[in-house]
Amino acid sequence: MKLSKILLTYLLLLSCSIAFPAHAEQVDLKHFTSGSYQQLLNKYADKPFVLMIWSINCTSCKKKMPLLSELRKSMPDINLIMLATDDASASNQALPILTGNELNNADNWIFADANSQKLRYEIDPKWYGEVPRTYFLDKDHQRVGVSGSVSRETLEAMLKTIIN
Amino acid sequence: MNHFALLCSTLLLLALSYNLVAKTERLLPEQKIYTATTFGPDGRLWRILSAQKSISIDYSTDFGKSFSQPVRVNSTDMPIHAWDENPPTLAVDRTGRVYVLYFADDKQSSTSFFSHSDNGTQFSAPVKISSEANTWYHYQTEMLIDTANRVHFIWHDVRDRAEYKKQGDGDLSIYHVSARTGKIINLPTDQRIAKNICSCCRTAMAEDVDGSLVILARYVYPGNIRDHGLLKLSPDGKTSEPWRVTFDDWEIEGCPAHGPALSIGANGRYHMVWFTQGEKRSGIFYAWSDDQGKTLSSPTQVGDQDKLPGRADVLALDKQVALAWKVFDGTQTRVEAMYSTDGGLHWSKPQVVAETATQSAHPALITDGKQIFLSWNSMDTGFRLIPIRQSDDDSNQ
Repeated sequence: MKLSKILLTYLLLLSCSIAFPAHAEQVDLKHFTSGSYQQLLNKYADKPFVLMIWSINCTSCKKKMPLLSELRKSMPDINLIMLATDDASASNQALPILTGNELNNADNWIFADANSQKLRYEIDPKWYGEVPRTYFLDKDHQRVGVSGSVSRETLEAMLKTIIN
Repeated sequence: MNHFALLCSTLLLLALSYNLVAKTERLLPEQKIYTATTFGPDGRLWRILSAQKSISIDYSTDFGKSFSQPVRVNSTDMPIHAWDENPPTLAVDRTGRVYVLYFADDKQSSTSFFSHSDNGTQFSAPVKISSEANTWYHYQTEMLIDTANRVHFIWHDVRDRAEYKKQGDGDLSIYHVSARTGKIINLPTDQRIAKNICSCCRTAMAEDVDGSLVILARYVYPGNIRDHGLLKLSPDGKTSEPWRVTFDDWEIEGCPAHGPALSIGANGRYHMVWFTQGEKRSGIFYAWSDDQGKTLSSPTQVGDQDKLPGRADVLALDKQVALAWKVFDGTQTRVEAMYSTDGGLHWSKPQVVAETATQSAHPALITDGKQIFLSWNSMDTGFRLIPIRQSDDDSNQ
């Protein structure tokens, strides 16, 4: 009896400890690696989308999140991709920020290659890495990239442009 | 039965500790890329070795070909936490004392710690630099030992957040503390020396020939213009008002994460290099000043615009001046460099001095007082020390 209790406790705890890291990695926050940008273009073929690139330490990025969330509700046709340029090891810090801004159900990604310069180049060979960086792509994937915070007016106008 | 219970408990502990270790190690990106080097008075090349939980130093007597047995700086494990724009710093003074500045997660993420040693064989216990290190997030700390044997630290600190709230985000302050070096170093309370600093760009610091400390930082000017300003700390501790020195008009409410570099030659000429994507200028630019930064030479563009040039460093050794920066072609990261023998008036053609297809740190220029070297770390090749000198092709330029 005692033995089976110990064994049961052991198995339970062991399964928890195995399950725990899996849970931490679960998600909503997909790993952005070499080839991921092309993957996104394929996924949203013939569809307009917004790619908002942000970082957990970027105040200007986080300040714009409530607005993005609000516009998304009023324009449900918009596909919003949020990409954090922090290392995948910072996933646990990025997730609460997205959840807190009701952006956890956007298409969320995080950089997962130590050579972040390569990842940036695959998105845009002209981008130096400043954030926030927002790309607006129409259904033919003609795009406009903007560095820095984007005002409500610009956001609304750009969203209308890419939908039409 | 007892044996079986013991076995179960042992297995359980092993399983748990394995997961704890795995979890902790996953918390931060690989730290070994972040290094720093400097030459000592005897010509030895000292180097910081970063690991996930420790900082060590070693030295080389053959210009980086081989290194001594490493000596650990922090005796107790700490979660070391540096990044590209927040690397550790190493200094060796004229008597051979070694000073190490590094970052580890503590009560605040990436807290600045300082340890020192009389000869590099044993280090003092880590001390937190900021007087409010436990309460306020601070980072991008720089360290300098001046000719009057004082150790200076400057860093970006968010503690004035409430004050900046009205002005908009992205702003923080630079704080400074200094102390006389010696066997025991006591840091007094720190002081704010600059306001409205762009939060994510490293600040540069150099000692002027008159013994004052010169600071070059990316400021946030009205309208979210992120250009550069200079600031002076005189030997008597007085702080000057800052003045703007770059006028590129880079308007961005965001994080450029790209700080400037500054070097002051023995002749008193300031050499500056910075990155901008302004209305008036875009790319890396170099300028010098012969009147302590009051006026600058016309900025010269550095690097090929099509190759994302960035992360430039500058170093002046009397009339010899070197510039080094990174370029990227989609696959290879290269460090390019150019050289001047007349104090920055004329320059050699840029040359590729090192390359990698993997992650790499920012390039840094160092000197042993005789020549200038590139100090660079990449994941594939590891540490490299490469002399930057005028090539034969350029001797007639």
